[in-house]
Amino acid sequence: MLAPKFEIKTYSDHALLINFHEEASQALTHYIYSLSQQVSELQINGFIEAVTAYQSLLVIFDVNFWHLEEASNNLEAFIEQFQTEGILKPNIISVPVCYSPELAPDLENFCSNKNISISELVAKHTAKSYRVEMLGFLPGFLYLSGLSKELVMPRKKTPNFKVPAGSVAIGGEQTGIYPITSPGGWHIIGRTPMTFFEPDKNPPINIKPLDEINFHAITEKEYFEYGN
Amino acid sequence: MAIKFLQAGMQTSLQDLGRPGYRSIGISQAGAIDSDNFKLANWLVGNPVNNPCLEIYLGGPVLEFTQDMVIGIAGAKFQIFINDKLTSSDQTLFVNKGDILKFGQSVSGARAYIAFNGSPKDEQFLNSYSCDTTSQLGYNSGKSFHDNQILDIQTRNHTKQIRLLPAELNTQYPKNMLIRVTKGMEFDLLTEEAKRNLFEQSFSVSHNSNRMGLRTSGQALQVNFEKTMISSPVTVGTIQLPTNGQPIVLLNEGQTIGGYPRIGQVISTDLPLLGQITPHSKISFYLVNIAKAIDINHFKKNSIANL
Repeated sequence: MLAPKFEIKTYSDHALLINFHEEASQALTHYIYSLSQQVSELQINGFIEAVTAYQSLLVIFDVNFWHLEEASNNLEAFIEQFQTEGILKPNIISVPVCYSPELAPDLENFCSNKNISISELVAKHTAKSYRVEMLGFLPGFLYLSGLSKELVMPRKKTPNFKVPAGSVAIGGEQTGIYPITSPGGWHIIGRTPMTFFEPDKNPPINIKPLDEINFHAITEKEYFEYGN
Repeated sequence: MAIKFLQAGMQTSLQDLGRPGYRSIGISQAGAIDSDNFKLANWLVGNPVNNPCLEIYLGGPVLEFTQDMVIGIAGAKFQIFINDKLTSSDQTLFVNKGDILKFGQSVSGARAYIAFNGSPKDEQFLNSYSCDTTSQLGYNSGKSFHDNQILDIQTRNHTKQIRLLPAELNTQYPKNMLIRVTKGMEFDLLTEEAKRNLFEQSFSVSHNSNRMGLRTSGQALQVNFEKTMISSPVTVGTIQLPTNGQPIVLLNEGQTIGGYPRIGQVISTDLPLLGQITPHSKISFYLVNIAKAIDINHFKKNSIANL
């Protein structure tokens, strides 16, 4: 992919945000992810880290060691000539999910709102393959694209105080997995017994943007016996 | 040797300057929120700048030292007592084996840092000792100290030099903190009235504030925006506007990606001050542009370079 149309905005007194004006796609995710890997090699003064997101890349610097114009010009010149070829081969990760009201407090409400049965929801949610667009919000939280339009639902007005680790949820046009117990404003429709985030490992998570997640339904019995 | 927590205090945790570099896997930097006073505490002891310190919040601990030690305290002003004797905390302190350090009332500010001449014996997580209480990561699996807990320390040699806290860095924190901000990425989504209200009113700081963020409330701010925003990167100091119109200022344990409009960004120089804002106090925002924010930082960098 050639450089998509982009614009560099000054996010703060020590960060630049690169917005890409291009529809979300596998190629764009690949472009942004590859770019994020390269930006760390550019040795721009004060560089700390690059954070990939949907259609954007945030580049954070040390306020004491960066120079705004220099960083911005460097990035602009680099992106203009940066291109990607093909697509990284994604890892395909099969994720077992128990879609049961016992483990997913919002499942019944979600289905009645959508006027579908739980089994219809399961069929729709497991039918597709989802692409990891970015990680973030929480350690190891996976933002997945590819949600069926029929399952789109705005985030909750009032977030839940405590969403259990492993919860599979829908928020707007996105679906995601909560890797650790945390507050959250998405609708919980299932729970996976799989562990994605292991703090005692380095890196603590092995999933990266572009990887593919396939959900498959398991019973409560299988959920509780998982890993035994 | 060790520090024993006879009483843990309200939220006492081990912090250093955090773990930058892992936001792309969702790990925020954590670390000392008032990094200026964290560094100052280490300076009092003659420590490397990033030596881990105890961060204490609102209600201080009661500590017993199992060996002679050098400590330095900086940040929020508390009454402090060594073996029940009221002691000034504005200088390097030498404590003896068996001494008990007690914190009394907080006089001003929210967080103080206790530096000591040594390093914890525990391992770091992703190059940092910082205890991330929100994500339950890092030192002590992200848990604050509890009563009777013991922090094992590998001490290092120290000088006998006594350092005094420079008077100009010995800050009293007001109950209405003025925080300078630049415009956030979605500032222009605010209605004209909301733009004025953001800077013309003081916001109350909620008791629900923590190391993740300061929740504020005031006259609700409105945005001209219909659809939901796509989740986008945020950083320490980003001011987000949830649907209820009450701004949240993200702190060191804040999320890395957020779905609410980013209406402002606290300037680097004022980020440490956010750590000194107490629940039920006020916060006011003052708008500066990026060039000014960078200038202010250069001025600060030069003024403390002599330490």
